[in-house]
Amino acid sequence: MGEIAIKVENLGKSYRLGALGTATLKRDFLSMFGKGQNKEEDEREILWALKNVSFDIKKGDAVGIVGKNGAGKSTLLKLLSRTTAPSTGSIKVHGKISSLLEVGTGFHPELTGRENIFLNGAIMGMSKRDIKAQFDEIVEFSGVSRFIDTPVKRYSSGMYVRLAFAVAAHLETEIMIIDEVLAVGDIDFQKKCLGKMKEVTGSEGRTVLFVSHNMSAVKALCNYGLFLEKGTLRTTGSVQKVTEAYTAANKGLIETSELADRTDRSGNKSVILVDYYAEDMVGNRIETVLTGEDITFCFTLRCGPEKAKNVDFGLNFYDPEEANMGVLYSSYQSVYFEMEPHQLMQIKCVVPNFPFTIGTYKVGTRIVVNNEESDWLLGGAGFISVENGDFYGTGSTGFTHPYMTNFLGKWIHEVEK
Amino acid sequence: MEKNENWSLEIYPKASLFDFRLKEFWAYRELILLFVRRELVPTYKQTILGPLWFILQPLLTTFVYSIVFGAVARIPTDGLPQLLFYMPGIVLWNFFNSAFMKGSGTFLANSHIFGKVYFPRLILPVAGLLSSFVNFLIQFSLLLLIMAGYWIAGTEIHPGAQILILPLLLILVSMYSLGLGLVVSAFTTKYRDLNHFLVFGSQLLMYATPIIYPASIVPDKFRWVSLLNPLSPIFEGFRYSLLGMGQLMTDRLMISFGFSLFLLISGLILFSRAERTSIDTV
Repeated sequence: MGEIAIKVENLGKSYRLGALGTATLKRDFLSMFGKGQNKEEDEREILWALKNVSFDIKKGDAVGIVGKNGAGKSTLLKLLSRTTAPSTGSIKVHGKISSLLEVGTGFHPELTGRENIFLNGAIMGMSKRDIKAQFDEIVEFSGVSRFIDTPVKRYSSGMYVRLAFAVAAHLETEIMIIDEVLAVGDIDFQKKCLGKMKEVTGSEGRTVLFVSHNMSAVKALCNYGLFLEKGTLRTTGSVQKVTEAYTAANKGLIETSELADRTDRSGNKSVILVDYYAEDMVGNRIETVLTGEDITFCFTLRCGPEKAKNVDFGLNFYDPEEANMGVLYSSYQSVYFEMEPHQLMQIKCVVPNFPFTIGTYKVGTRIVVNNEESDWLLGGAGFISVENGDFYGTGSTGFTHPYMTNFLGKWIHEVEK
Repeated sequence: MEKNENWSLEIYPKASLFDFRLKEFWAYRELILLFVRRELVPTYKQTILGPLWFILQPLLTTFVYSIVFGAVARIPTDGLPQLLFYMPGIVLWNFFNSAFMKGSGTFLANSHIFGKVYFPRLILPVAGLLSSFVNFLIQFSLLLLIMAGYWIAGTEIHPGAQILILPLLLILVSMYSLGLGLVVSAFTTKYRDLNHFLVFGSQLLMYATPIIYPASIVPDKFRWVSLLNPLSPIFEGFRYSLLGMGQLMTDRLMISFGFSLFLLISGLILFSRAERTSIDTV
């Protein structure tokens, strides 16, 4: 067993729920004079983003931190990078920590690339001497040498990110904390960054903490893992064990909603939707899916007192801003259903290679019978949350911005003779 | 492994009251200068007049005050030419106000940086103070030039040994503005109302300080305001040390010093408490 680089004991972080307002001042005054209000009431207002987390990280380990949105990953990073203080417990560290929660922190648009390299480097804890020594290498890595004396506000966003990452990649601290900075830049640059990170963890014996939704990147880069769930540590161990646990946990059951009783619907109700859920290829109900998975959407329809012919079923996906991300009616594929009076029927729609990227999508449905609207759930039938996955079948998650649609291409090339 | 208990960094929920981590602050001193640069350089980038703006701003203000308070309101200037009377006060007030504003905006203006990376937060108000001081030096040189001009032209001013107290007054103003900035910034993390009050408050403070009027014309009824305001003797002293006019109120300056020291220390305490969790509430 090697030397311990980070020792975390009983770490917890609580946040007070609700807005800070006039009540804050009153509460602060009361607690100042030892007149804390009702303890129970207080407890309810407090959210533990992280609770009783303890672990050790050995020097030279590359640790992947995985977990769903809201599991406490970012909170853990904030505490480790000292941007905020813990509520309970302690963190003890050997060596200097630098955090890459965002590249380009402190960049000033009016300053030149050169000036920003020095400023950004110093913010991240590099000394002027270190930056000077590595200056040429940083500039070359970024590939913006022609524009190094131009204010960065004139940079394209790609150039900006490349320069920012170049500074970050040349930090020489013993412990590095990295938060999905790979989600930026073009493919070539991403590969370069992955390479640089491998170099960082492999050859130089540095400790790296890497937070990501991208299981393939975690597997490729890390040897150890932490799996956080609802603010507590669920699994620690080899990266294999942790990523498996994470993938397994993402296939839980969804709650069934009483769709039939909902009133936020329009249509003549000759056929209505009464149940909806999604399942994976093995038949488990799921609430979280990975981009690129084959997903089966299951809908139960109930026919009214009259026989229904030409039932056309449509489903679509909305992003949080209610923008429609895609629509599919069965009729587009020349599929119609027929139902007997009072019959219940389940329709399954298999969507191969699910195309949407990370995010929580609202699943909308609409039933049309004989070209007349029969049932349209205005609030949507349910939600499905998506984590980035292996859409291309190559291990690459591609462009991992939320609420995007992936597509495949056939690549052809011809050489000019 | 476990035996090795000399951790290079230990993080706990609470820190002791007087732990200002000045050693760590010193380790980051290079960053202060870079932040000073970051404050100063963009001020004149992409302006036609460039660094000239550092000088133009106090000149224009002095000009406006001369018209409004001198020519229109006819507030006496202790027998001095208006330019000479207003400018020292304005230059020193610019220094105080800019350092104070930068200090008090620390958490709100930099939350995007603070949320991403750690460095001693005290760097920023101190950098704000230093960049304000650089501005002050530029404006002060201009003031000296103007004074020299008046002196050659034969105006009655009496520069002399009293100028030696000037550095002390500047230290006082620095302590005062930094201390007040730290206190306010610590409170703004929770009570955003302060931020709205700030511009108004600083204007009020300016009128309560003998900048556009000499302390000698304050009616007895309102004398308590100027007595209560620890900035008054500093500004009077500044004019005295430069021009030999007015008076030096040594006893009241001592009170100002005590108050500034109190502000600075309580500012440091409140600030280092607020910086630990500022990003949770800002």
